[in-house]
Amino acid sequence: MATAEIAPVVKSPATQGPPGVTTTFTEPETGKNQAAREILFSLTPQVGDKTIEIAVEAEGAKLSVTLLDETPSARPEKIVLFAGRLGPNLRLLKPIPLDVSMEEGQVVLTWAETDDFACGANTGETLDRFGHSMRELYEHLHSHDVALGVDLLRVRDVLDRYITSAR
Amino acid sequence: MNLRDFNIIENKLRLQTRDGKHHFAWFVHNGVTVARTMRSHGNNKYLPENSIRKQLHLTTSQFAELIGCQLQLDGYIRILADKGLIAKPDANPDGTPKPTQSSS
Repeated sequence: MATAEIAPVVKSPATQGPPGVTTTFTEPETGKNQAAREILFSLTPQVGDKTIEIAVEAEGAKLSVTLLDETPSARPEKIVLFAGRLGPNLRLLKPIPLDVSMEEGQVVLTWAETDDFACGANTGETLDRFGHSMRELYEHLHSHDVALGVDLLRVRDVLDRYITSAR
Repeated sequence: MNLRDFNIIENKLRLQTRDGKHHFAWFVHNGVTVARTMRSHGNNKYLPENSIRKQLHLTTSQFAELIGCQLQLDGYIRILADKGLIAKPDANPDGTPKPTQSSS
């Protein structure tokens, strides 16, 4: 257990630290426990993204740090609804539910019903790419000179429940 | 998977490609578009293997064999036929089995 010299004082609410770290002081921040907090934060690279609690005790005062499993993110955890633009010729009838995942640092959005996907550096970019992809897929599947197999006919039927021509 | 793997699949399955905002690849069998996949442009773009595999109607092991040497175009056609996505190679156009040839 790490130790630091902290003056025993009354409990204070959690103070702000780096993303993914919750720090609770049992006393208001002073120059001494601020130093202790810096020591604890310097430990975080060693514990990676595991949930861990570190407590510092000195002269009866305690300071605890909880490292969360993952850094909090504004990105939805599982599902996002696509309701973006599909270009001037297509109109969305209802939002498309997309599964969100992170793979190799990329945001991957997947439409499970059709197995369509898009990847990008962030959710906004990926949604934009998904829109472009859907437009191209819709236009190809509705092309008069293309004969479709049973699965792509199914995909086209699914698309028709969500997208329609605006012409 | 990487771009090289994607190119292997394209060449092996003789996918018909079209470039727009994305690179689309279509598997066409006897004039019918049966399956499709896609990737973003650029050499360093991430390719979601699992999604591409599902679009091509393959299991994980079949997909690995496709990128490797084991699964070729004729095997892929058999897989699609077994799944009912195309007519079996030994079937009539309406899906009924062709009569077996008698040697006598």
